[in-house]
Amino acid sequence: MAILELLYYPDEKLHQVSAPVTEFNDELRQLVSDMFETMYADEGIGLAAPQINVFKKIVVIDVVNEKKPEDQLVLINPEFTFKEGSTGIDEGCLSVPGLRGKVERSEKVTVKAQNLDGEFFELNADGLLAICLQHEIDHLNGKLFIDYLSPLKRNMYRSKAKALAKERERQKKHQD
Amino acid sequence: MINSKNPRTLAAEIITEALHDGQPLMATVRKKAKTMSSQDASFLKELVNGILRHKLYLEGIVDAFVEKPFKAKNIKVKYAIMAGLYQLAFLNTPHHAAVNETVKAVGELGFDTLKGLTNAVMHGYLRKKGELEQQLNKSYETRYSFPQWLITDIKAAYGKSLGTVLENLNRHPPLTVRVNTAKCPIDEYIKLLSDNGLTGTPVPKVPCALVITPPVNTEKLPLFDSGAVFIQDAAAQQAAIFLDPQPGDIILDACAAPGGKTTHILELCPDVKDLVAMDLDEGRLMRVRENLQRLRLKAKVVSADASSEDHSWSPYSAYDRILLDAPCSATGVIRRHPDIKWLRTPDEIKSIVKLQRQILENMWQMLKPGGIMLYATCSIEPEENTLQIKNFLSEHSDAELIPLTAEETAENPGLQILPGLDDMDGFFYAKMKKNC
Repeated sequence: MAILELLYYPDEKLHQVSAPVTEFNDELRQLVSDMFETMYADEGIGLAAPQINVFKKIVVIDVVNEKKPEDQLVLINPEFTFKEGSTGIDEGCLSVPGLRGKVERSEKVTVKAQNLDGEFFELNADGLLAICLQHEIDHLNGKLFIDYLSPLKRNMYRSKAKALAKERERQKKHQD
Repeated sequence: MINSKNPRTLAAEIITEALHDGQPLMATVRKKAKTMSSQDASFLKELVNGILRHKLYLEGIVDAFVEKPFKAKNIKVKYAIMAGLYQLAFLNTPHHAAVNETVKAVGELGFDTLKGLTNAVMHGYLRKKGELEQQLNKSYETRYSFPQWLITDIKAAYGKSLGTVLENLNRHPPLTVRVNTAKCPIDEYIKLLSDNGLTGTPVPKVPCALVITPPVNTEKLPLFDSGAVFIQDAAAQQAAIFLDPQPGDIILDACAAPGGKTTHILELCPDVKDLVAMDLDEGRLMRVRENLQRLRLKAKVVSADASSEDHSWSPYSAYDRILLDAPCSATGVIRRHPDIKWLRTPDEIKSIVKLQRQILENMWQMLKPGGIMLYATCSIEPEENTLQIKNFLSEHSDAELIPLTAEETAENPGLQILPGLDDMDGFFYAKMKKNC
């Protein structure tokens, strides 16, 4: 088990499109388990593989955030088969720390994906889970929630992102 | 994705966890605040502390409009409403913003059905504000939001000062630092602060203390990384001064974590022969080690139980000076930890007094003849303080009180600093010598 290093906005790699997973093996299991640990460490409810510098179509989600196995969702190669309605909440992202912003999303969605054994399944979702699925699957297509916000908000965040990067650097040095 | 909840929602969840599920308040706040913007994080802290500081006042408002009591299942909703009322009553937030955001928070908590009630309570308060204020200010309990038993204790001990003490315990604490004047003279540090747009105000009788305004995060404090400053209340800074360490002394700092007083002793007297910093909690001892490292100081750090008669942990059989910063009710630092008001019980204070007595007894045995002990608490309960020491002096013929002020006698020993005096925390000190 390990907490993995995150990529942070404005890292261009976050805009890269991820490739489908073809091999379902122990390595994948380990990666997914580390992704959960990384997500929980920062109070996240969802994490996509490109956020940890792995450009594969893998998403982990736990919207309850109590670390219970029954709430943990793993989606390999997910895609939407159905979207309906409109909703939106203030979203936040582990790769865009310190920013909240409202994004318009579909209210109900259906997702087709594979599990850790490569078996296909379908998932119907609404509420927070539907929003989280859209946020994470966006990551696999190189899209961040901040990309939906106004250019003014994005630019304001850029200077803050620099300050945060410096602070992370400082803390890292402190730990060593 | 991070579920970036409304700070009011988080405040309601955090308070529920702290008061009903026994979760440590500040640790939970820090954990949740980690992924928030610094603005949202300080707003969250303001809400959590505000609701706890004015709990009975805010509950009084809710009760005026809600007939059915809240149950364990929806108690969160009550705290969310109180967050909104706190904004209206104490923060001058524009009415529509406070009401809208609070209604939203109740929705986020999963209680859409109680949105109407939330709206009604908040608008009801705005309509009847004057009348409610008058009514709630009638009793000390609702006016200052303190449990009755604690009001009774404070009244018995400090009589006329009751209102002032309660009011000061509800104030926001200042940011106070201790400056290591060997690394940076105090005048120079004041200048450095002002170069950074900050003001440093000296504290009477505590020469190394500065109150810094406006309060900032440590990374904004000049010379913080070099170890020239340490964040510590001015009342706590008096411990090392009163202990008065001398070159060649072997010193024990009992119950040392997080190491504020440990490091101060070493700064005041770098030529002590040795200092042993002891604490029960291994996790909190890490903080002692970190602080020693940041301030580039050396001490022996040991994990041990100060109340146990087994002294095998100690590298020395006896000490020249012992600082005993005893576990206490922490009633003197309620302004920093307002949850204490609601978590402490009179029974708990009784058992703390017993534990302190046991530790005092035990540590006294580790003091060399002619040695000095400084007993300290951050409590304002006389049983933990002056009565504890009075009792100890009467039971130990080899214990002699060394007065820290002119008013002290064996019948009325120790210096009680009341919270808010010179903007300090509430603290108690008593100094004793072990006669041969």
